Amino acid sequence: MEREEILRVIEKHLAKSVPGITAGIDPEKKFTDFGANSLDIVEIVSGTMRELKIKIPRTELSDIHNISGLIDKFEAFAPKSA
Amino acid sequence: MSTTDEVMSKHLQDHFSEYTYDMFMMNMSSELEEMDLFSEWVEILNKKNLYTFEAIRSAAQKTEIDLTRQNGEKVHIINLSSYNYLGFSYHPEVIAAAQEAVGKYGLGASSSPVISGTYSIHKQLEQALEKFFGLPDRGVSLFTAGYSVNLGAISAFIKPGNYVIMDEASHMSIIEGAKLSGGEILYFKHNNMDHLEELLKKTCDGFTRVLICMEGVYSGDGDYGNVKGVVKLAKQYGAYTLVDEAHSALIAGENGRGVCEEQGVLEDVDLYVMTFSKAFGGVGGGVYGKKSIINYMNWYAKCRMFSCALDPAVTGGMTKVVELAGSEIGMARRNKLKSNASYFRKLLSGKVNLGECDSWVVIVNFGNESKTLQLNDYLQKTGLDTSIIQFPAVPKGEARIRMFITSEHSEEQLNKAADIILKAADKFDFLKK
Repeated sequence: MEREEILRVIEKHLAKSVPGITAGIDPEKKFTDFGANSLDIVEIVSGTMRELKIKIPRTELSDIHNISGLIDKFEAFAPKSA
Repeated sequence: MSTTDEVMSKHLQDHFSEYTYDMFMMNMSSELEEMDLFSEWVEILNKKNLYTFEAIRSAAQKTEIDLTRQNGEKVHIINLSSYNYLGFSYHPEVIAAAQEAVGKYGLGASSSPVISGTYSIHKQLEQALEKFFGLPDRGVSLFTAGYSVNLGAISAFIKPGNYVIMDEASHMSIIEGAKLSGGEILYFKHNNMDHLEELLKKTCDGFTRVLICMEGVYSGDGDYGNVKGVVKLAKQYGAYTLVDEAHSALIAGENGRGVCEEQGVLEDVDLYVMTFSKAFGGVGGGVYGKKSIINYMNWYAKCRMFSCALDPAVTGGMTKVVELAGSEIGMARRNKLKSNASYFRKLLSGKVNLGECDSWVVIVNFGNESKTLQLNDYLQKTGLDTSIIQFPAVPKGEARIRMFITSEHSEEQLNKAADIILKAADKFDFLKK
């Protein structure tokens, strides 16, 4: 799965919590930079997991520092194609 | 159990005490793994004797009581964890009024208030509240929970295409009410009128409905809302206002009409939300406003329309509470509560981080939620029960001890409680340097 594809899904879920977000956000930023609060972040991350059907273990979520770091995790835990 | 669950389970065993609420919040797939892991976490904590939540009370919420923890351990504590601010939940006249009402009307109202669940006792409570707040052409819509008032009132008032602009420190019930409404939600920085004005400039166009939501006393911070400032901006830009006075109705203001009275804007607020579970000492709530708005709320706040009416016993008790609150007893208890809160804050001031709190909701910030379990365990075992709050009630990394002072606490109890807090602050490293 391409990083851009993951980013588009993240943007979609971010926009549900923060009105006015459009495609093309800077992945080096944090969710809080866009005005999302802690509760929003939980919803954005879990909503993205459900849509992408990729499960990141809970223990892996504590050391993510920006959106790019979250995309790394999605890539790492995406089912490997045969 | 899948591999990831096994990893998580080991993590729980190793780091059970560093739990934060969001660990089990995520639903990642069709499996119910978050529920299984949460149960496992509770089990581990009970075995380690660190599960301090849901401790059982076997008597009224008085100032000093016995608790039984979920694992059976008993502790005797000074009670700063219940918001029975004026001690009305166990006032003998309130209990007698509730008993009389249940004897006369039975246990439940047995119907929606709009259909056939409105009893004469409900009308008496509405009239008592209208008299207490004293404004002409106003009414009250009664709900079975304070939470439901915000859920129902906001979603009846706001529809998709409208805006809800709320203080970022607003209670979960306001957030969920706004989400349910389908309106766009914007947050302004806590008590920051410049930021609110910036958002009003962007949203108020003379056509679109905008509702500003805030609290009288913020339940998570213990500070006052700037209702006067919000009302001024709302008038200027043509927005409406909802003020949740859950923690300030019957207390703030000379006559107990809340922060809206204290700041001289009671008449200007469109939706005044009150919760009967705090100073009223019962359960349920109501919204006070112009009769035309209230008539509409009665029908279109769906969680009211589609719920059974407030039960007769509580309604009878609340009617007596409103009578007491408007009497010399109410005045004396309000004054005692304010002097108790001021006394307690002085005992802690300069020694721990009280944030901006200046009310009867006294906050001590300890920051990192991973300390929560051991800290709460220590406090309970040394004789103090508090209402520790952490994410999502407050932002992550801003965990705090919250204490509800009541008019009924003695100076001796407050001294002892402050002593325990300071010892805990030393042990858990949150004394002010």
